Amino acid sequence: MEAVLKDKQKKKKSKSYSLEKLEQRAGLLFATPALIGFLLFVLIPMICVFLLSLFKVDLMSNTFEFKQFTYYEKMLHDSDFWKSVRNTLVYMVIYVPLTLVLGLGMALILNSKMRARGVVRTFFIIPYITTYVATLVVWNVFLHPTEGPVNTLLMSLGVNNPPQYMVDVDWALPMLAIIGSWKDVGYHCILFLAALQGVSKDYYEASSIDGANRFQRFKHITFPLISPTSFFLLLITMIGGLQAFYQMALLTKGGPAFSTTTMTYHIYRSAFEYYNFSYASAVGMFLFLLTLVFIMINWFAQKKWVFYQ
Amino acid sequence: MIKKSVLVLAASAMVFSLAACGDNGNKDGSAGSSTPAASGSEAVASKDSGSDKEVTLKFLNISEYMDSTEFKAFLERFQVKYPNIKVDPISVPHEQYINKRNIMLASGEQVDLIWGNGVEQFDAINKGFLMPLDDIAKEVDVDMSKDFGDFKPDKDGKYYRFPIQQNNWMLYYNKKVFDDAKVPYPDPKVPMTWDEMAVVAQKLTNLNGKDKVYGMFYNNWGMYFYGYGSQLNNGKFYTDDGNVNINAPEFKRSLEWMNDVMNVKKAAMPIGEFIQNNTDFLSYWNGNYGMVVGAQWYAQLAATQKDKFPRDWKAGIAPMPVPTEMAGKHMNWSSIDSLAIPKNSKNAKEALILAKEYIADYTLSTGALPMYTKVSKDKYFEDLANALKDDEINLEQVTYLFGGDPNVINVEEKPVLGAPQEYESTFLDIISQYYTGSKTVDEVLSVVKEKVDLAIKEQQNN
Repeated sequence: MEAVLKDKQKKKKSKSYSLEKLEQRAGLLFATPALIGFLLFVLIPMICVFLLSLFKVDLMSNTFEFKQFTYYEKMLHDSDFWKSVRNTLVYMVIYVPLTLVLGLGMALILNSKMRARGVVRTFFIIPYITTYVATLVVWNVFLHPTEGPVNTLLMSLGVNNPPQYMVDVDWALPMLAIIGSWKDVGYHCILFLAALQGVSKDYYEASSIDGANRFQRFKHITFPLISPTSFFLLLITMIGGLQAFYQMALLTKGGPAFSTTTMTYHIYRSAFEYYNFSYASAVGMFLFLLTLVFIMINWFAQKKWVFYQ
Repeated sequence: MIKKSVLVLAASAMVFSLAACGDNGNKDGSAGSSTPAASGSEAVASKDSGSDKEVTLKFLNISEYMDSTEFKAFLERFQVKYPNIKVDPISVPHEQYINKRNIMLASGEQVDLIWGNGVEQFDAINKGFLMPLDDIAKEVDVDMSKDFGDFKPDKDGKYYRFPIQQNNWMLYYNKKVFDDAKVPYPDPKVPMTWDEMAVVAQKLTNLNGKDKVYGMFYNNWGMYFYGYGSQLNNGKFYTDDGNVNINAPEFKRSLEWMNDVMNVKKAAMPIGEFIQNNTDFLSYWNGNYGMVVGAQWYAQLAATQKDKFPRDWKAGIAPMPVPTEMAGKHMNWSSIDSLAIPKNSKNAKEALILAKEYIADYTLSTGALPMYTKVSKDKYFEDLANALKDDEINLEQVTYLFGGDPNVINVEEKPVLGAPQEYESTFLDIISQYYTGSKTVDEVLSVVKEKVDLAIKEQQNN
């Protein structure tokens, strides 16, 4: 009898073991397409870029000459590279907080009881779903130095020399950051709104009974409860800021006087305009490391402010 | 087992991708050894054996020249003449041309024939993209040293460019704008000085009407800013030791002249407006400008194409303005558009056959005079004068301005020797600061010099 029981147990164990194995296999099978995609389009290209940054290459005749870290050395001594780093950081300093604050503010408005909420929500999301080229054409007209509505208004108010925006070294980059923020804020708004709607009303009712005012409710209830969403949006906004490219490529071509050349535009120009792929790869690796540093800082910092229920 | 499968999968993916990374289109196994067609003779030798087989040539050119009925008609004629040579045209707008060319060549895509202006082709020569043409040219019965007039080798005594046409610059003007402003037309033979042109441009300008009329149109291209200086110092864009000479007094004077026209006399569109409007070079033909300095391509692409550029005004032509020191002399900014063969082309001979037909047949059919001396100049002048007769432009004027004046003084249109692409794009990126008033002319020129000197040095080190 005991032997039969042991045998049954053994069979059961091996059955559950094989089931576990089967599940593992199925899991791996499901993950395989994503894994292959990651390998082909992320990891391997990244390795290729790193290798490219170490070689002087003639891609037409496939000749490679090992140059060690020459291109990194060149990059570190290149004033244009440092300007592009500075421009990227300035862009981020404007773009990230502006997008997050406006996105959250708009979500708070939409989350309150207001008329025509659906229509307003649609208006907020329109910039995000419109193609970049179309929005940039509109902004270009909007900011036209002599005939654009912004400067026409300024001139009618008595401003004699309104800014020339896209050809002014002081104005071009902030304007591009504002345009980028305007484009993306709708997406942030929708995600913030989803998070706000997930906060239980019970917390607000309880806090009202305790006498908490609006600001206290926001600080102690809303913000902690939407902090996972805020953290996610902070990360993708920072990564988006570090990779800013479209506005520069379509509106200013990195100018005037390099003032809107971000790191990604510097990479693009070095590789495709000047055919210096090795140098561009070195800058690409630097951008990757910089992004990684930002992510790590945020990852460690989130332990202090992100609240997971 | 599962781990093993994943490993095999990952390894296969990696091998597959790395193989893809290294593919330069060279499938014969010679990749990585040396240049596939290091010299022209090698390329020709490889062609001799297979000259009867059918080949398809990839031809990269700008859409301004390729997307035309004339080009389609030319291809049909070419196909009849050479049934074994098929042509795959790749048409790109000029502003995207350099990027497209670089991406195609870097990705290993085999292109057999590429178009380029002076800057673009010298950029390609300096970067080692092109194969020398001396030997292949002989195979197609072309003598590079004789058949293109006074055309000199490009680098190290070798020809890399197959010249199409030399730009012939002149002054185009809108007779209606002159009539409205009651200003006499420019002399058809004696050039204005730049200073005289600035004064005339101011008289023609009317910014108060329904449509703004600027006395002068310009393009955001280098020669419109430094070209006057090039006339003064005989196109000395580089110092004797090969560095940038853009800070020379002649170029400074040239930039200041443009500032005077644009910002003091207000006779040309401010640069901020020009850039933000994405102003196209053919915009001159909308009728709201008095004068423009332009080359034969204005006649070729717009003046004679009234179906594409309809106008109710007549155009006139006169010699290009000159500095006061050169008063009375007929001057021209010399730049040569050309075709070239990338060094990895496997169909070099056929590509040169196409190039030869392009210049002898197509170029002429579009209203431009090829440098190829075996075509009849007289017929070209007659045809062009005929196409411009509605503008009351006669054969004598056409012959004088479109390449028939043996006494014309040619100076370099653009810097083409050291880092030409970097020179031009850096110059254009920086100088807008001067015209918007945020930097002085000395400051912008010294920044350009500093940056381009570095680019030249780097190119020399490579």
